[in-house]
Amino acid sequence: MLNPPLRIALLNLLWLLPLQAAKTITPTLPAPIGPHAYFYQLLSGGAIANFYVAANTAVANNTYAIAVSRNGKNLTALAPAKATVDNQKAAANPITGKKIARLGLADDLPAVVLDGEKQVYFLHSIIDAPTNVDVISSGNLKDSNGNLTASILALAGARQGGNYLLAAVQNQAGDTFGAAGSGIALLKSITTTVGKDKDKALRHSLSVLNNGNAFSFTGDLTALKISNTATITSNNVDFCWNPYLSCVYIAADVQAANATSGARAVVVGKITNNQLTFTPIAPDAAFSGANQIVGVNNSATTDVSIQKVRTMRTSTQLDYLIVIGGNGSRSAVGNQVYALPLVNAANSATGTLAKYDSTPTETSVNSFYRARAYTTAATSASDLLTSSSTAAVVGTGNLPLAASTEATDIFVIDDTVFVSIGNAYSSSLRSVYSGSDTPGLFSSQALFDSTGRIQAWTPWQRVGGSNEQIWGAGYIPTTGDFWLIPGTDSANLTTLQRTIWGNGNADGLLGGTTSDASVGLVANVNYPMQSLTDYNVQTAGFDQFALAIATGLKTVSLIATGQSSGGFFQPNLGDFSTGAAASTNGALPTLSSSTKLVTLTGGALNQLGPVTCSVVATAGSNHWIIVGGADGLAVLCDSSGNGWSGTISQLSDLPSNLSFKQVGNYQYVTRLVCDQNYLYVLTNEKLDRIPLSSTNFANNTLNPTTLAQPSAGSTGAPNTYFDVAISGSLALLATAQGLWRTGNGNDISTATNQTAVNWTPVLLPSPIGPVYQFCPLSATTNPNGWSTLGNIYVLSAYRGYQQARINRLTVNLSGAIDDNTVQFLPDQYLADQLSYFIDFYNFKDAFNYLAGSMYIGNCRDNSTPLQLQKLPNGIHSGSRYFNYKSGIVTESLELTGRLNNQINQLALNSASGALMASGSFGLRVGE
Amino acid sequence: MLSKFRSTRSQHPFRCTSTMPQSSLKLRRVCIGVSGSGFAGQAILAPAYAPISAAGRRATAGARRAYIVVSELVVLSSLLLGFTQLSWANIAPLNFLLPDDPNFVVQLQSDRHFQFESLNQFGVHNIQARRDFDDPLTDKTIRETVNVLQIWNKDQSALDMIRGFSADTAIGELAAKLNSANDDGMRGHMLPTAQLHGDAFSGRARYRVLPSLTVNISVPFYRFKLSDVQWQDQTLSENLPDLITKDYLTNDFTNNVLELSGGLDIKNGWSQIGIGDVMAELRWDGNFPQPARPILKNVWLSVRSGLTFPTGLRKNENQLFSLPFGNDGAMGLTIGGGIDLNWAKVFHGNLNVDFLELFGTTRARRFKTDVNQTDLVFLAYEKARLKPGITQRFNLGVSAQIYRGWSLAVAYEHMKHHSDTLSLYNNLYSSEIANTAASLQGWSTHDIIARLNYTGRANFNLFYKHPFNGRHTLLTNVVGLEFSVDF
Repeated sequence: MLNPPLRIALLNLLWLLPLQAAKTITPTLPAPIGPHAYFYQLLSGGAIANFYVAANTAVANNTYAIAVSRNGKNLTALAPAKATVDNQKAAANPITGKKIARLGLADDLPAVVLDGEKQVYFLHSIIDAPTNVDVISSGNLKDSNGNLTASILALAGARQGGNYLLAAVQNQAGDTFGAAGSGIALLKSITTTVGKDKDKALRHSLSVLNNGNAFSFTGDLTALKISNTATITSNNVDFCWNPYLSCVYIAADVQAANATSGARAVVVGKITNNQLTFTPIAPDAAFSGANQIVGVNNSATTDVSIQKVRTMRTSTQLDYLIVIGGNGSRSAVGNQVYALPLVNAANSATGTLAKYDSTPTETSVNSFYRARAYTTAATSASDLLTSSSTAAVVGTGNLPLAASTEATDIFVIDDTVFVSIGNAYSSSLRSVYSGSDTPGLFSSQALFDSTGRIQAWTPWQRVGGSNEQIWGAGYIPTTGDFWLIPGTDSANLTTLQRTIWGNGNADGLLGGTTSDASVGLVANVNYPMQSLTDYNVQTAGFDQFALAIATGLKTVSLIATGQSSGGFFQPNLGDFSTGAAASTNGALPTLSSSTKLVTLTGGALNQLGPVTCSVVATAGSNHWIIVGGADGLAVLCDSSGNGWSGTISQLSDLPSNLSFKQVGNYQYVTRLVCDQNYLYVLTNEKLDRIPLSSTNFANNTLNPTTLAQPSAGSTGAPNTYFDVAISGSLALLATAQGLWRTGNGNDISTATNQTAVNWTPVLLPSPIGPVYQFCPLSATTNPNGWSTLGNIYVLSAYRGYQQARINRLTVNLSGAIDDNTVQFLPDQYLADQLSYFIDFYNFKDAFNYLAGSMYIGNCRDNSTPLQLQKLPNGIHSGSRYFNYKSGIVTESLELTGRLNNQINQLALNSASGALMASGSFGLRVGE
Repeated sequence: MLSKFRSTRSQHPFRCTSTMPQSSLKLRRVCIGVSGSGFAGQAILAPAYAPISAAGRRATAGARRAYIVVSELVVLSSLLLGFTQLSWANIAPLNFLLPDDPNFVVQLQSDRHFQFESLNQFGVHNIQARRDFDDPLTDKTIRETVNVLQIWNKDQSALDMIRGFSADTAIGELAAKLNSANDDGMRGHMLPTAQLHGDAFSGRARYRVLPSLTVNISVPFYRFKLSDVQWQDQTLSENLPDLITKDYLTNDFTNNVLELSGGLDIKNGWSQIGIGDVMAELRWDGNFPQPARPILKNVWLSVRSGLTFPTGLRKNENQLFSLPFGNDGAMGLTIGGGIDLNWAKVFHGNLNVDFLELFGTTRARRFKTDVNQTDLVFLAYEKARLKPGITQRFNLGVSAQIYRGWSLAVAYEHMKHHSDTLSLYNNLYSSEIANTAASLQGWSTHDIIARLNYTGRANFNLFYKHPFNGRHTLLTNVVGLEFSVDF
């Protein structure tokens, strides 16, 4: 083994490279970005994704009229001046320099409609780009009556034994889509062999099926109307091809004929024998009223508007239809996103809406679990989720967007729905993420019940670390980063950006201003961190304010991550240095309104040694910042034990006479939780509940109630504690002896001693012993709200065997705790036997499921650099023997001084959506 | 011709040959490799050890040369065989010369039937160790001379020490308690140092059963003392994992080990005196004068084989760095041979190759339970079968007669031991991991030996052995006195 200094030097050399902060994907595009399309495909062991952009302005010789960024890399021009066009080599490329009106993808190949044209160009081979591409054209498309269409409204692709394209076409007169003659043209890329022997050659063509005519798609379509002919009310049509179900979902804005009729805004299309057939998303009888999201029937409200449609295959292997829109006119539903279950069994109802409360069917092969499916189609109104169903409402509520406007993009990755918003901040309402337009990229994650069905969603949360208006976005599965199209003018979007992991060097975000990295947050909290915790804007005691607390050796930093600016809650970015304050006596220094960062050392913090955790604690209108460390607990309070009362909206609102005061007599505090006016203190050998009281803090009489501690002679009882999650009456305790919960009928918030808690083991399937960490997902903005339809990802880890696994729990606390309060998600490997979700075959220090990606922190032995690893996408039930080395992209972290030896759970900056990794290396950000 | 043989012994500082028989006793014998051949009974087979038959006396110089060629082939074959699969060994990591060291084998005088030899080695100073490891970062092998307790690892990882045990055991519970503490190269690292001193004594008796065939029995004794044991904690105090590592593990490291291991005392040193492994060997020597050659005057060949018996003090699994005074309970089979050349009756050169094959033994042992574990402190103690690897010894020496019976000699000796294999009798642990222990890997020694030799009625050697390089071996500088006398 090398001596440490030499190892440090060598490892520094090895790991310097990843520290880049480039965000704009080069080259700069000659023309602004117009249509864009995102391709994402799961492969064995991971996924790939490409982001296509097209020009919205004709610029002569623009070879980037179509361009692609593959897996987040630089753009490749797909419109070279010379191309193989309709089998003619080195022909003038008709796409070069043009303005692109429509862009669609068939598999991973782009098809375009040029501005003002009525034919489709399909790039059936781009493998040689940018040197050459193969382009085939369709000729002008016809409507369903065989007449030349007035316009192509939408374009999408499908892959089913070949590449198909679907184009929504107007009738010849250019009437609103849905009028007689409107239809969906079905095109197919065909390759034939011509000639013989030496003259044999492949010829490619783009054929319009159905004798060149579009398939009629009007309000009279049986799959669309209910009872009487409906009306399609706009030219907005959206497609989504589902490769698992082999069907295309066609979304439109529709209106029932009258209050006694109905209409469906989503139609299922299937390609059979090169013919496109349309199927109702659910039978007529399934619709009743105006709250079933994709349809309406017998209601005074006759409009149903679906702006965008996507599908989701969950990690529990069920399929869902994801839509933006719902019951109402288009201008009334732009901020609504819903999820509806789909039948994904191979039967005649495949692809249609499933009876939401039916139990999914599991299939196995040779006693090995293989798949899960909804097999029962919805047939009656009670079978469909409604717009008020918790399971249906993605984000638990509306997007931070006015209903009259529209989200700019939507995509689905695994269990997460992402929506981008291009609107600028605007609203007289200042409630965050509700009623006001908030730009950016937002995500919501599905929460499952014990059968694998979606039971709820996490609230909308900004991700991507950007405060800009976002007009298009995509997910880079290799790294968990995002493509973003930012800009203030949708007609002049000049850059395609991507987020990136690193120190954010001068990125204008947390890495400093665009000209000075030294003023950034990363540079100003450059010390080994023991913890980094985000407190979002909904935290009690905050008003339009968000805070992160970083802790280190005898050090605590308060970071204002977001506060009101220009009348809106916005993330603090760029300069954290101006107004930054520090103290060395543990007391709050003088702060100004420009203070975004204050670092406290000394005083009582010296007594704590390494400060390992923090909490913003609340009792009524009184609030405290409390930190715990190796040698105790300290409260930021005044001489009377008060923290602050009411709310603060910036750091300088904190009372000036606060200082850290050590209270109690604790050692090795590892977790602090505040719930229902109590502070829960977890050490490695004790769990105490402390009533929050200024008087008690002032007098240092905490009056703790010990709820867990090792008992001599109680064999099998836990004796080392790692983590605790508390929500109402329920507590989950992660221990070296497994997972424990509050006993049936007991209440952690009222128990007077350990016996009254009646700790009950939760026997994980295929356990490895110690349960190390919780990653709760809550359906509310309260981080302790996971007990209501929430999920908990449980990291079991034992360094003694170099093992780590993930189990998933679903929690539904309604009334008293019983055996059904905490249940397992139906992850299986052997049929009908619950199993763990992931086996890492190695020890892992930290696990997070944030922003659509699962991350693990890996602090390995013997001087190997720390690693932050993103797990491959597509992990699902049955992925038991997941190979942790396959498909994972490792982001190594810069080494500074001593070898890095600690990495904490990631924190999501709730204000900007940036991911923040902390540890002995300091801070790194994904933004 | 016989008179030439008479002086051989005095001219042979490395391997003193017996005085040639002066009588007309006629001996005949068969040489290894040519057994049953037409050479048997010819004079070329007899000069030193066999009473010369009439046929032998009539042997031609050509036949003699042929024999030499054949003999050399035998030796070379043995050498080649040894490189590929055979072995020799003993407590070689101790790096003392073994009782049968070829540098000190003295040929029985022809008129004597019994020989006693004493080889006494005294450590010059405290023993150091040679450590090497492959650096994964540079792909280079780093070799260092270190304190004996650092022979396998620079320091001992207390955190890795408690890994590889089920979480529901006492050790596992501690490992779980320290889940958050990874081995960062400092945390939990204990730097051990100690003073090790050793001396070795051996006696060897030799009895002639046939004119060229002797039986040798050697009995070694050793005295070792490990003292001044110190453990220095390298753990810092910068974060919670540091502190809990100290609190629960390293602050009271020696007592924790004592408790967790079920008795392994790493706090105190030890002092031991005891017998080593007795070795019984059958040896054939053949001396072949080269009167017709202008420079080369004599060729002496030897072949030996025997057994080592597990009489030596065995490794104490509850002592720190316990050293077995033998092959740790394993019986062994030895085989070897050598060739000695005399040039101009003044200079000598010799090459010896020996091999030892040890048989496996089964008993409770300490072993590695986690691939990252360091080797000095193993907590696991279970029944296991150890199959030692083969051992080879190569000795190359030259000498020059400086005055009558006095000569100066220098020799290079190299021993190489191949990896041992441990098979566990417990499926709670992995034999694969156990066999990654550095202490089970091969070792090698390199020594330079300088001698002042007197050969007369009795033989004396005053010598100094200087170890250098080597792998996973102790570096024992030795001064010694050897003497032998025939009866």
